[in-house]
Amino acid sequence: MSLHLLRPDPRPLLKAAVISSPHPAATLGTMAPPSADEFEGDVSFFFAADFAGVPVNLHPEGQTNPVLAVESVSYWGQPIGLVVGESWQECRRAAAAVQVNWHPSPALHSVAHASAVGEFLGAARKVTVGDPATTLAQSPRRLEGALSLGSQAIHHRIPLRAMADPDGPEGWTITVATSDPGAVRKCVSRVLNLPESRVTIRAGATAGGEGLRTHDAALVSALAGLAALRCRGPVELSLDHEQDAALAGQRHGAEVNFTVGFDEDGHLLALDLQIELDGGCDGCDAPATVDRLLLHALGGYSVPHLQISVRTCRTNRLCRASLPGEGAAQGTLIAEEILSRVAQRLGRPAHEIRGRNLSPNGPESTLFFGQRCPAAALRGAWEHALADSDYLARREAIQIWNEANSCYKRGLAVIPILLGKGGTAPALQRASAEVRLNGDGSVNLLLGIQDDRSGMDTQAAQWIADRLGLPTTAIGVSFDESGRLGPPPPQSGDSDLLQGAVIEVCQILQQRLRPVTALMIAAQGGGMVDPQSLHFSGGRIGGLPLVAVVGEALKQRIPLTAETSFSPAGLWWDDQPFTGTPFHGFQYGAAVAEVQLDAFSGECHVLRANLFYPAREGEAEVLAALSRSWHLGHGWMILENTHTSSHSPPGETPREVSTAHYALPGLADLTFAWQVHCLPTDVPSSSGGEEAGVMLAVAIRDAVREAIRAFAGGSPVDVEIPVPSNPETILRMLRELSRKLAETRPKREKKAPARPSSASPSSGPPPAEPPLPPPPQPVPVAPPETKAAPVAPAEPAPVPEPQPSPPPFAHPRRPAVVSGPLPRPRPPKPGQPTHEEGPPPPTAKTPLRQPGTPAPRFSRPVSSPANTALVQGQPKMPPARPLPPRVAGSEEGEVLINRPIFSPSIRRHRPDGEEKAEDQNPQE
Amino acid sequence: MDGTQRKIGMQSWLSFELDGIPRRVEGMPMHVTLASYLDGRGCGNGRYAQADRWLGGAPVILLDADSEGLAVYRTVDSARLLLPQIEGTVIYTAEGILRLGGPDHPVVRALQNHPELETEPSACAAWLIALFEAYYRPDLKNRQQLRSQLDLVISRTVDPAALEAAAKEVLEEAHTRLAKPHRSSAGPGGQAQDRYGDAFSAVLFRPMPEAADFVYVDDAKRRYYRPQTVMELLRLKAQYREARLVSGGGSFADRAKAGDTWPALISLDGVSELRLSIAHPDHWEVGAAVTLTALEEALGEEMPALAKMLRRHGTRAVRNRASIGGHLVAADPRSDLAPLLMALDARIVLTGLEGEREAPLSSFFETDRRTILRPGEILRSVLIPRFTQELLGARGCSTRCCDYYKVAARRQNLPGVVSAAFAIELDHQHLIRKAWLAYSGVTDRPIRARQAEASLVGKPWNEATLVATLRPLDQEVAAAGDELATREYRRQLVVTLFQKFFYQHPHPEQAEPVELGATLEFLRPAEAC
Repeated sequence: MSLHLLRPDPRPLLKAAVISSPHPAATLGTMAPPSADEFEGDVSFFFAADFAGVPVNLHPEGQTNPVLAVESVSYWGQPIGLVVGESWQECRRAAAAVQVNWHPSPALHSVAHASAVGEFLGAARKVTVGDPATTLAQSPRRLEGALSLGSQAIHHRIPLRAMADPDGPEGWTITVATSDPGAVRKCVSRVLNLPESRVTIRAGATAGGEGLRTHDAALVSALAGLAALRCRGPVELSLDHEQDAALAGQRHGAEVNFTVGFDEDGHLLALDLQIELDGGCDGCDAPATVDRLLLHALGGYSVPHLQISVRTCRTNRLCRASLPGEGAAQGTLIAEEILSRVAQRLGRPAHEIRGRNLSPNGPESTLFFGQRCPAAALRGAWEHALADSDYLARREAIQIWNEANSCYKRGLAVIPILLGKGGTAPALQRASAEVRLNGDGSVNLLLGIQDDRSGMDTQAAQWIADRLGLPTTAIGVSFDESGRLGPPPPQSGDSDLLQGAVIEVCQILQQRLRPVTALMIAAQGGGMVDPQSLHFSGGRIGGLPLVAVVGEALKQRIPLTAETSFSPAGLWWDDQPFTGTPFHGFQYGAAVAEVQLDAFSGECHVLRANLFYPAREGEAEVLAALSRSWHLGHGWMILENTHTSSHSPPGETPREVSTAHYALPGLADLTFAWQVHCLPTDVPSSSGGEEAGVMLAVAIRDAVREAIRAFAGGSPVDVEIPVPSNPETILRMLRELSRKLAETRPKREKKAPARPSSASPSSGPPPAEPPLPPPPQPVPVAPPETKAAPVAPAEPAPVPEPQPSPPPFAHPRRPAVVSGPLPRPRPPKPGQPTHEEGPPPPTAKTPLRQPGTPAPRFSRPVSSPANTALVQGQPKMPPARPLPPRVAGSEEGEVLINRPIFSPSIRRHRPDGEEKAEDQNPQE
Repeated sequence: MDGTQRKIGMQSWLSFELDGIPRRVEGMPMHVTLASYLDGRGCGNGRYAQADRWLGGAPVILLDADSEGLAVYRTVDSARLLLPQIEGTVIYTAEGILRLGGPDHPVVRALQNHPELETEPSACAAWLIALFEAYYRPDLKNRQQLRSQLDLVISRTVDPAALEAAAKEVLEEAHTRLAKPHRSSAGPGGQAQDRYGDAFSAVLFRPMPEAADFVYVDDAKRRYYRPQTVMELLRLKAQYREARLVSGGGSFADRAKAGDTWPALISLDGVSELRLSIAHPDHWEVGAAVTLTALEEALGEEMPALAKMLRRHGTRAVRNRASIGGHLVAADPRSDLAPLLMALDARIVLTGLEGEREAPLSSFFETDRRTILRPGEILRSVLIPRFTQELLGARGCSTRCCDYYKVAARRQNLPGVVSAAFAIELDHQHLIRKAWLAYSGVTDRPIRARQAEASLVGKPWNEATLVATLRPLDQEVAAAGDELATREYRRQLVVTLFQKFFYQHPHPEQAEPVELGATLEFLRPAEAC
């Protein structure tokens, strides 16, 4: 990207603004534009009725939304009218002043709501491989679960602008930033009722990684065209930020229900997956997304029997596949979620289960739809990731860290990904390029994509330079701004197809020049030379200067312009049995993510991320694309929440489209230490970075789950977190976790008087059976001011054999006191003061007993760290609690009022025993 | 005008220097922002018209004076700056920097060396501005300051590794230049020599003209006053009752974008008394027009909680322009400054023509964004007490500890879901002598949990006290839900943030907090850069 920040001044022309709907679902009543006198200059209003006779649908096939809403609106921000004026400010004011008689209707905001009501788009799809029903019934173990995938909004920094000029040099000229000018031309020519030959599109550059602009560019161009049609002059239509966010669309969310059958080792045997995808109001992009989701639903794992059924729901929002990784990332999420839950249920570490399920044997294996994938490479990436990132050692270290800290927990996760490049429509997998050889030996290359400023032009110049043996300074690369070469490849960042096109077009040129060169060599007396053996290098062909050959070719009227539309061979797809070879290439990788959760506010920091991706060290653009998509995925997993809060009044601006509320990640939220480890690759240039990062970011979510489980201190809990798991959600999860753990303890008879501010007596050590592993966290003792009568044990405590369990009163930093076998618990006599179990710590001071008052129950110094009550007579296993238990007797919506469970005087000591000089400024 | 009034010339033009070229603008309406003006001239290809405040706006460089009166370049958001506010100053846009600096300027070169840094041109322009300010900032020493410098932009399309590399290049270049020995003895007036040696630094070392007293009248006869003294200011306010006071100008620019206009505006930019932070032996007197950056520079060393809060407030561009008085008078219920100033036991001085009165900040805010300011009164200064050992000992305290926490959807440039500031003072028996528990974002105004504070007095600072305080705290502070967060989340945060304060400061006599998280390990705030 060069710093093209200076542009020529635009011509003075009419400006237009869009009147958009403030309701997600409503019927349009009468519309009353304000009188034009209130505004400076001429202001005109146009609604759908003014364009009678104009085809209203943007796309002829399928259900779509009209360009201007006629009777009802189906999403927030749908255009219902246009205002044209002389300045954009006046247009905006006029648009805000239009009075419309709205009749709002109940809107479908979520997939659950839509599927309950039965609003579906299109037909359900079902893919069955093997015999899942029987295998599920016969599996040794079965697990059912649900997952809720949220959406992610697209916020462009600069909202969309389109200019329509009826009197351009080639007829109608539309200037808009889009990645697919051909589609825009098709829509505009339909709407304006013109042949496509009379419409020219000038597409400017877009910003890579921000989201494609296809549908919204088409819509806005059509609106600008309508305005220009009426006003008979050039019109520039601009959206504002909220309208742009509304029209750009969001990711497809989903509700997933699965039943998985597995064996004791964690091998997946059968899977029944039911997905309800949020298709938005029109479901334009839903079929493509569903296909891509199905193709990636298992990732690189192999499950012999499976059944996946997908339905698309209709909701009152706009869902588009503009963000990178659409479909593939959802599939990866589902696969990794299933595996994590299986691991959770089995109580095994997740990476073991994942490793077992990666396609096991042989260099290649077959994915469930019939294509062979490089399983060995994927396996290699996985092993590489585990080894190079020190995964096991870090896991141990994190466990130790977690034991020492109870208010912050860290989690570590590793996932593999397999990204397939291609899709279920092989006809769309093509890229075009055109090359022209000039008389002086320089080359002009026209690429069939738009400039997204991610350096594709320098890459393409390098390809040509290598093929034709020219210096890169002699090569001029431009992008196909008018869309005349054909549609771009469907996945952004898929440079393989483009590279194929460039190479093919070079070959065509070479084939034309070789015979000429051979003749020239023969004419100069060099004998008969095989034209195919001539090399292009250093500005020469087979020894002759390129310029000379070009001159000769021109004399012989050999055309020096070549164009091609490249499509990889061997792609085919059959929808009915869902088989084929849809992918022309694979990208595999792995990611290790380490996160830290803050139990005070639920905030989550991604501390370290190690990405393993086949790339080369010097490919800065690929690494940058990977970084951008990783952060996009990061935001989707733990920050960005598009669900409208239940507290916002209906009909007002939903949270999701306002940048004042939407948590786009800033620099301070991003991964602290981010590193890419380049895997060895034999592909000349790597691609797919735009999508792979989003899939790799699923590791963050898994690490968050591990961190939440760490709060449970080792007891087996099933943690289910939605997407996104933002701080509010995490704090709620922690509360529910502590409640769940408190409920699994037995109810004890409470003889203690209710103490309002202390921990409920339901806290305390868990029952002796089932035998828990010796938990790492020793138990500090309750404060000695508890004057309650001794509480009888719930059941007779088992006699503790001299076991190597840690003494319950050892402070993490104080030396553990172990002196012989611990004595049996004596059943307490009521009214008698009893001592705690075990020998008191040698430094404990028995507080003085006042005459007349019963001795305190525990002989501990007053300044000892407080804790939950160690109930008399219970076995000495410290409680495996995630967080201090909740206060008894609290009302609904209670707050987690924590009893602290560890001494705050824990400082992290450096390995050499010195304390690091901390920075003066406190950091949160 | 009668003879008792000083004659102030009314002018209908504005003059400033834009990208090295002096410009004179006639008859522009008063409520036009700098961004609209630049967009009207065709600059920036739509980036100025469509600046979104929460994504960083459309920053430009403004020549400003720091607290010692030396010229310094500051990033400001052009969409939140009214045009009359830049009368007499120098502005550079990103395009101007490119043109005047050329490809050899270190900042331009650093960005050219990393073309993959950013794919979005408006964000790229903003990074250019941010690095430009970093280059000319002599006090940018450590990573924490660099992070707060680069929090200017929220961008989906940035590559943070490339940005860090570019920033490192820029700063290395700056440190090299600043470390060069003086070519000759100190320049005229004993000021520092220009060691950068380029077109932009020459402007920095040019003598700055005095900010003149002026009155701007626009085409619709709306007036903009820029008085020089507080008395003048009060007189104008009394004379023109419908006039509004402008200090930083951000909130006015937001409303101007929505189409509001005002018959008259009185700016505090020219009143030099209000831009001073005076260190008295026992308190700081911070004028109402002191910008948050100047506040950080003056008080940040002494009060680390204040520096921490300011780093979380807005972006660098916001802090360079927002003033403490303007922020407090706007009475945002989610204000970041208010709870910390309450915990620091700040007092405010309200001045009117009839006299001055002083009040504690904790009683300044009333419901519904109103304050105790009377019409015709201005907030003149904020008095923040100093907490030296002698002063603490004089009241019988041995230690004092104060900290601030903000929870928001993301860490930069968003209003806080809950902002909390806590402070405790312990006496010589290590019992709590006084406590401050201040929150904002919880109800309709910044509050202090008085009952909880009262219940803490006389207790030791340990976990038992903490536990005993949590339930009354929860019951006293009635959290509300809104579109940012639910009520339960806020309720939870009210309690857990106080717990966090305790866990980070179990021994208040130690100045450094207990590090519970990963900050020092990964972020290394004090590391030099």
